[in-house]
Amino acid sequence: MDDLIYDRTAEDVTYAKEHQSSASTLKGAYNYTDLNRIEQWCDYLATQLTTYSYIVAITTKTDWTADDFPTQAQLERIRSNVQALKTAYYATTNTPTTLDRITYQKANDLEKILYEINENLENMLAAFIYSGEVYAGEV
Amino acid sequence: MKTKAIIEYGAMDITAKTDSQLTATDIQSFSTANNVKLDPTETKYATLEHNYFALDGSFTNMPANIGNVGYWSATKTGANKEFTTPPTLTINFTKNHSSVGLTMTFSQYSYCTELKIAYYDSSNNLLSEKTFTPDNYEYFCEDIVANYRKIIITFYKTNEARRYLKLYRIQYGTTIVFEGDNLISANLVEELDPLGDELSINTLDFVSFATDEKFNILNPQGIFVAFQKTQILKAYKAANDALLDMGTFYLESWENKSKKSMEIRGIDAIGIMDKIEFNGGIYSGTSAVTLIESIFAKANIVAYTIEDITSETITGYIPICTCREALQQVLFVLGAVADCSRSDAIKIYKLAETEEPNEIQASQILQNTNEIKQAEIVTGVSVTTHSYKLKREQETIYEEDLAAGTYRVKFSQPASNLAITGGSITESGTNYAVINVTGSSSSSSKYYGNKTVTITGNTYDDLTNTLTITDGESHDIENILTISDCTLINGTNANAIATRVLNHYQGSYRDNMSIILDDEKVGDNVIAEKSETNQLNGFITKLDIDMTGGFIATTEIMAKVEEIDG
Repeated sequence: MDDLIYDRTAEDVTYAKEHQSSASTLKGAYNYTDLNRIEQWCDYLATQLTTYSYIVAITTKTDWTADDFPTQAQLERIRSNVQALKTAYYATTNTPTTLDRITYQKANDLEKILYEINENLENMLAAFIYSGEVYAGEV
Repeated sequence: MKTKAIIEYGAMDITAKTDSQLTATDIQSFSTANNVKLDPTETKYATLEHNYFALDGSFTNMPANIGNVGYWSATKTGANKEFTTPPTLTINFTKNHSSVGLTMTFSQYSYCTELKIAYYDSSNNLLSEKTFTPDNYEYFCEDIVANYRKIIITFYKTNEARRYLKLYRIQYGTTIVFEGDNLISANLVEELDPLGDELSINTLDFVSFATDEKFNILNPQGIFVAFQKTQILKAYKAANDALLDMGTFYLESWENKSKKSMEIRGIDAIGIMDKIEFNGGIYSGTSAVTLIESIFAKANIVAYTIEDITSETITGYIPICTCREALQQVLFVLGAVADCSRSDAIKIYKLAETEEPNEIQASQILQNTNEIKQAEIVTGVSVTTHSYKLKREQETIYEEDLAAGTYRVKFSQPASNLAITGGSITESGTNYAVINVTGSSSSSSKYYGNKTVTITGNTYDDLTNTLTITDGESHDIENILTISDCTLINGTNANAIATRVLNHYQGSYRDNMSIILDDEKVGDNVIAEKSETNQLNGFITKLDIDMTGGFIATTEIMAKVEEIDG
C-alpha cells in the first residue's frame, strides 16, 4: 500500500491547478489513485482491528479508475468508513463532516485519522509483544 | 458628465436552436446531446480526470442523478491533449438557417482548443468548413453561412491533458457591439399614453458605420445574409463607468445608406405583439390577469410584470385583432398602462401620483425649448356600452365549397355552439374555427372535387346603450368625446371609464421641452414647472432621445396645474 498523505499545503493545491497536464499525479488534487489508497487503508485497518476484536464492518471499493465518476454517496461512504474505524478504535483528528467541496485540509484530516489509527494499533501490538515476554526478567 | 451610446446587436439565427436536433458519436451515458439546446448552467462537478479535482473546496460532488450537463464525451483526450478518435456532434435542421457563425460555450474549467465546423445544405453539399482554435471557454467561431441544413462539429483537442469534452451551449450567431465611431446616430423614442387610448410602440433607430468588409452590404459573404427580423437589439447609456439599460428592441428593418453605413430600426416587445393575431372571445367576469397572460402567451411574451389589477375582471367581447390591440382594449377599460421602456419586460400598472414627484431641474432644460399648451378641451364624454346575448336560434355562419385541406375560418360576428357538415372542426373559438375537409366531393358541391362545408351556430346580439357625462358647465361650443368601439365597456364599468376620460382632459396641459436626460423615463410623475404659488404636476408621456448627441431628450409631459401649499 502507498503511504498515507496528510501533509498537503495550499501551495500544493495552487501547483496542481497550474500544472494539470503534468504527467505525475499531483498532491494538490484528488485522482483515482488517492481514492484507491484511502479505500485500501480502510480495508486493511478494518481487517486488522477486527482481528484484534475491534469489530468494524465497512464496504470498500479499491478499483477506482480515471473513468469513474465518484458520487456524493460514494464519497460519503468513504468518509463514514473512516469515522467507523475511528469510532471502533482511536484517533485524535476530527473527521470531516462532509467531503463535498473538499479542501486539502479535509483531505489531510481524512488520511491523518487512518495514520493515527494505524500508529496506535501498531503501538498496541508492540505492547502486546512486550508484555508477552513474561519470562524476560527470569534470565 | 460624459455619456456614450452603446447598442448590442444579437446577430443570432433566432429559430435555429428550436429547430435543431443534436446527436453525438461519443457520449457519456448520463449526457444527452440535445440537452445543449436547453442552455444548462454548469456545476463544477468533481471528476477523476487527471489532476482536475483540485482540493480547493470548489468542487461539488456528483449527485446520483446528475441532471442536464449538456454534452460530455465518453472518451478523454490523451496526454498530448488530443482525442484519439475525435468526437463529433451533428446538428440537423428541418429548415434552412443562416448565421454569422456559432458561439460555443464549453466548461469554464476544461474547454476545447481545436474544432472543425462543417455546414451542409439540404442536399448534403458542403457549404463551408473551417477549423477554429478557441482560447477561452466561450468562443465565437465566425463563419458567415447562408441556408444551411446540417452542421457537423468535430472536436480535436482540449486545453488540458486527459479531459472529456464538455459542451454546454451553442448559439447560432454572436453579439455585435456598435459604439463610438461605429455609431453615426442613434435615436430612441419612448411613449406612454396615460389614458390607455393608445398602446405605443417604442422604437430605436440608428445608423451604423463599419469599414470591415463583412459589414459591406454588397458582400455576399457579409454579415447581412444573417440579418433576420426580431433579432435582439439592446441599447445602453454608458455614464460614469455605469451601464444603464435603455431598453430591448427587435430588429424591424435595415437599409444600407452606403457601402459602409446601415440604417437599422428596432421595435420593442409591444411592437412584436402588433404582428401576432389574437383570437379574441366573449368574456364574462374573466380575471384581467388571466386574460392578459393569454394575450402574452399568444405573442410569445415571457418577460412581463402585472401590478395593481390583480383583482379586476373583464366582461365583454374582443374581436380577432393583433395582440397589441387586444391588450390596449383591456388596459383601457382597466385604466392601466403598459410600458416596455428601459428593460426587456412589459410592465403593466396603474399610473399614480407619488408623494414627492421628481422635479425637472432648470439646469436640465435647454434654453428656449419649453413650450406649454393647453390640451384639447373636452366638455363631456359619451361611451357606448355593449352587452352580448347568445341568440336562441341556430344559423348558418359559414358556407363554402372547399377542396380537401385544412382551413382557418374567421367569423364576421361572435358565435358559439358550433356544428359542421362537410368537414370537421379541429379547433375553434368565438371568432374562428379551424376546419379539416377530407374525402371526395359531395353531390351538393358545384365544383368538382370540392365539398360544401357548412358551419352553424348561435351568434350573439350586441345590445348597445350610450352613457354621456359632461363637466356640468356651460360652454359656447360643446366638445363631447365619443367612445363607441370599445367592446369591453359594459353597463358596470361605463360610468367609471367616462369619468376617468373626462378627468384626464380637464385642465390638462402639454408641456414640451428638451432636457439633458438624467434617469427620467415615461410614466414618471414629475413637477415640470414651478412658481411661488403653483406648479405643473404630471406624467412624462414621451421621450425622444438623441443617444449620440449627449442624451438630449425632447420631452412631453401631460400635467395639471396645482397650487403649492403654504
